[in-house]
Amino acid sequence: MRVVVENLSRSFGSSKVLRDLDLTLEPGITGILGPNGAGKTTLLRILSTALAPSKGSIKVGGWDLSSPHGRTEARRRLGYLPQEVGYYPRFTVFQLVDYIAILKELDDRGERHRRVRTAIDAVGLSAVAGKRIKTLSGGMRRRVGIAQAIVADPELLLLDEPTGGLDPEQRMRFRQLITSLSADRTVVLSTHLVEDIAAVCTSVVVLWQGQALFHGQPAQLRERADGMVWLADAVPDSALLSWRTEEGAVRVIGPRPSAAAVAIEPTLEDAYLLVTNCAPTDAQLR
Amino acid sequence: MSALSTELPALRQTQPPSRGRVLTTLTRVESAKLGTSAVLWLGAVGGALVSLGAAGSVWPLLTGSAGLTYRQANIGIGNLPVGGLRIDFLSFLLMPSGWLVLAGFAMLAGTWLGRRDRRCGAEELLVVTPTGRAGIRAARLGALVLASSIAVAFVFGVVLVVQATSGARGSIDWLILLDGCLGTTLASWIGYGVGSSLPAAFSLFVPILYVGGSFYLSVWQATSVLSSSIEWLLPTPPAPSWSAGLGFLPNIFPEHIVYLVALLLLTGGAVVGLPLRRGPEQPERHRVALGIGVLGLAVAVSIGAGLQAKPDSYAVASPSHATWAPERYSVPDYIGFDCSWVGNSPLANAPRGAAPCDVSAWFHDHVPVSCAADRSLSVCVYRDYGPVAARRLLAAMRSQAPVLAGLFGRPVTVRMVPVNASSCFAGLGKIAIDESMIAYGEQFDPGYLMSCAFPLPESEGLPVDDPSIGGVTLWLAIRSGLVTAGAAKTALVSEPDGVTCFAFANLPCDAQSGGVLSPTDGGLSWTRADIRVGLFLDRYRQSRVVAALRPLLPRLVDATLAPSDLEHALG
Repeated sequence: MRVVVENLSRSFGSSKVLRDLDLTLEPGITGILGPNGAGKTTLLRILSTALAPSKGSIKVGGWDLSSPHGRTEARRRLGYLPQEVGYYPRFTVFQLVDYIAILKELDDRGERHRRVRTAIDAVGLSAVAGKRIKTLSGGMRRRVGIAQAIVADPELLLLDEPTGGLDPEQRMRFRQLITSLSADRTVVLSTHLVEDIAAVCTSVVVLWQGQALFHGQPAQLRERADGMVWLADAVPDSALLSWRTEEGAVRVIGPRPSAAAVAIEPTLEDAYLLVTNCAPTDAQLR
Repeated sequence: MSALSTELPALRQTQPPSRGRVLTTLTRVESAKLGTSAVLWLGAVGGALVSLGAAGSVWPLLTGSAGLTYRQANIGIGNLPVGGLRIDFLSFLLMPSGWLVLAGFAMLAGTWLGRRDRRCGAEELLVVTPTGRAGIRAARLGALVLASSIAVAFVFGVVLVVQATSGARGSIDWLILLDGCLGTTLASWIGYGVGSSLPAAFSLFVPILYVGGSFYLSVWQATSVLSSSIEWLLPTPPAPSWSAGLGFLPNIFPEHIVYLVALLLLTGGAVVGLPLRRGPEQPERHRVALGIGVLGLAVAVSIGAGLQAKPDSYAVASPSHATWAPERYSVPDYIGFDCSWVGNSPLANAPRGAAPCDVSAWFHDHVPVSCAADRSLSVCVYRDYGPVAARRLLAAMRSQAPVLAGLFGRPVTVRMVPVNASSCFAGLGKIAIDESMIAYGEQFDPGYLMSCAFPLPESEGLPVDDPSIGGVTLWLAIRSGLVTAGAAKTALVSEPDGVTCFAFANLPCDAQSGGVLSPTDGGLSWTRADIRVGLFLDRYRQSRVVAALRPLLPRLVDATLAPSDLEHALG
């Protein structure tokens, strides 16, 4: 499912969170990277139809979200995991996912229950399907959220910080799950964890103060940092960013700090830091 | 987590899902959740208990019908939006009603449901589904309809069943039941609106305010500060349902149900429509919901105005005078009511010149049709009291009836009346039946038939102390088995002060008022002089005493018959 965002802006009072954003999201996994306050959650809320844009247009699979009919059709095709989601504590895991499945218009009881069980199994919660949500840990609740998001086989899956609260093993399994889901779907993953993006995303968007600083493949983002990451002996004045590694060397992002500095292979995180630190200031954006 | 791709087959909807089926499913799920709501069950059980309490104290005052049960249980006798309640015309201060309890808790359950999404932070999860906020709210209102109706039926059923075990034969009036369900649903919907739109503190505050306010307004109304005509605007019909049942007031239930439905449309439209103004919701649903609300408002105002134009509770509007069956005293087509309850207000269609109030002149309403009879007496009670009650009454009077046969005023037919005063005249007795007698099998006042046989003279409101009257009534008591002649003889010897007090089962006997016959007060006592006359009469055959008494009755009831005249008549 193709998602086309054009000239999207969103303000909260005098605060402009998204600024004339243009994006086209194709099937596959797109990671939305950005620092806190970059507008990641706002973008996903708008894509999920939970929030109306102040300006601009969005088409989800050809459905225009500005029209009521378009929103309904889009909602039929999307699954959404909000960043902060609450559940009915007295519902069991099964009841909660089933409840969302009903709202997703799965009106055949037998089929719906089968899908609910499958989704719960997919997130590894079969053993606690009959337990009330209030008895679950934070990580388990996060997985319940993922289960409800995927239960209706969405063509567009919007996941806002999906791995928050998951332990390393669950994060790894989550990545497997997302990868398996992405075959014929558009998955949009908002996170500030670059390793999640590096692990599963076919495309990445770097958001900075409501604007897309970068949109392309992770490898392309990484290429941005080619020749801009060094190991040096001391912190140079010219460095955009630098920090001391465990080995005692100084990792520098920026122009070559010294003749003795050694160029190294940039990581995605290096590239992300480079892009965001070269971003225009808020005053420049204004 | 396992690999999902092979286990979660793609969902391919070949046709658009049925919105109706989705909402029905959602309604069912929410109903099931509400069905486990402790709040709602607390209301239902509490409502049933309070209803039974009210029913036990005042119940079969009238027909024992569903309408009465309804009133006594106060199911649906709502107090929205203006409050006010008259439980019945004899005991309307019995305000702590089952319905109020139930409606209060139903409102609380509604607020709980309305607050749930915000309380749990689940709103965002729900609004991005195709069902949308409007659909979810509509389904939840539907669930409240189901849950409220079940709770009402529970209270209603408990009262009916428990009373049926006491011999009553309550029937279900579906219109009344529907009315009660709608009234309770309205409370729960308002609660839902409060819970979903107002801060948490209101969730508890509003139901308390509602119940307390209703109670206050009801008492306020009961003290006649509030115009009684306003009570027609209540969500469910108030007191005169008995009159409607008897055919003397228009049955407003059909209109009232429309009125309630209109209020529900108004509330539902507001609850569903108003929140859609916020967020990227569907404007056409917003318009439709608000349109429904406006329609509800228009219909409610229209029907409400019509209801308010109805006559006041105690004004007789129909049927016409031609269909009445007046029966006694000097005013030919006379109908009376208990003045203390109508505030001496003139009856709308009362004949010119008729006294506005006379509790003893209840017309023949043709409603007491459950009868029991023997050779000397026929007893009829309202239909839903059933023949069990009629037989109990007959049994209570059976011992006296043959003895009193032929005497002045002794009824051959006793008929139940819905006013709190018994009377008798020319062979017809009208009796207000104490509900405890039927419900709990307590003994009927044995003085009733005697008081009919001897309309006693009074002096300053008290029966005249007259040895002839006392002697005759003692003789009647002996003959009807209430007192034995041996006990009377023993009392004559053993009571030095000359006052003998016989206590009957379940009847108080007050020696301080000895020497007077006060059958309607439930106590019988005689002086030594009375006992001497009574024992003297008991020496003769019953038929001879009756024959001798008949020409003397006018003097007897005027208290001008000396004991020596009695002896002379029999001698």
